[in-house]
Amino acid sequence: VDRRMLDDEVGLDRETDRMFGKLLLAQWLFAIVLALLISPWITFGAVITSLPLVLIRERLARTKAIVEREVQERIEQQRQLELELRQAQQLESVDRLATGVAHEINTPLQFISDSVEFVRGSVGDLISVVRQQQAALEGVLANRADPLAIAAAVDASASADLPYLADEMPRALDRATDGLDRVSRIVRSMKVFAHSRGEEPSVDLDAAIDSTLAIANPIDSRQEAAA
Amino acid sequence: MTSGPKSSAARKRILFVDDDLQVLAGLRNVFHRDRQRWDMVFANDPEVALAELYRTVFDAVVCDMRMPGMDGLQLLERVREHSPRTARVMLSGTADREEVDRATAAVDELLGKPCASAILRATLERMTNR
Repeated sequence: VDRRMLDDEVGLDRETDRMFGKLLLAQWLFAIVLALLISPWITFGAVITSLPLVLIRERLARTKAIVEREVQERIEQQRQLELELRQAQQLESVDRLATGVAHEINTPLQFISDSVEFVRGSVGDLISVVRQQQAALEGVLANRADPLAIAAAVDASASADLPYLADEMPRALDRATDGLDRVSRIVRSMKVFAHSRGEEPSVDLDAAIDSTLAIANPIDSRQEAAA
Repeated sequence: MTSGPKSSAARKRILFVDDDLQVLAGLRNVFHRDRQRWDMVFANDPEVALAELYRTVFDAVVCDMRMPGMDGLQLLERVREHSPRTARVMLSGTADREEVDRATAAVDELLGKPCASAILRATLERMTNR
């Protein structure tokens, strides 16, 4: 509903009402004058004919009030609906953004967690190998070489897969570091992205574009991170 | 990309699929200690994963949800059609309600990233020994 049109309508209505009131007053005055001039019978007739007009006026005023209230309620309802729709749209986009960001953060968290877990287990294996080798070595140095201890040390070393650990442990640590970089880059981008949507007087366009790309195009940033 | 040269009747075959190479490398590291009992294949492309699936039978497939081209659900649907006895585990980086709802039919187990290796290991043990 056009608010201005409605206001005009209500204004016209008030004008009519005022005119109607004046007319009624004129009629009463006319009746009194006539009564004074001519006869009480005509006075009586004038009063009687004006009574329905008074009733109609009352009725009209009530109807008008009801219609106005109804229109006001409708307008209020529509405003409420528009507000709710806007809020729902905002929530939906926040939801989508949050889902995307969650995916982008949870992926590095997965391989950080796995890499650290691998290094932790490997360190345990290495310590066990060193301990067994030390025990075997102590026997050899004391001229009491223990074949069982030596065999155990060799076994421990074989089952720990030392060549694999030597290759993979540094890589796993690098991977964990890369993952942390990835997470902090995303968090940083989120901050820049959030700020760039506010009322900032000056904007670093390069940074704004980079952060928007990092959030909007995760696959590119991921490939870049993997490269 | 098979790891572990030994083979025996009890060995389980597990296929890991994720478009992120770092995730695959982390999984490969952490399950290295299971190499005696599991034959593991790592694929960073759903199409490559399908080719592996058509080539041999797997006891379990672990795959990511969001991948370019074919998503994890589509892949697991294909796995179900092709070899219904293969256990299907989804490792999803999002806790999206719609994804979870859609996942129920094609997925035997839905795990959220980051998932501790102990939980994934226990899940795979349980599902491959059904």
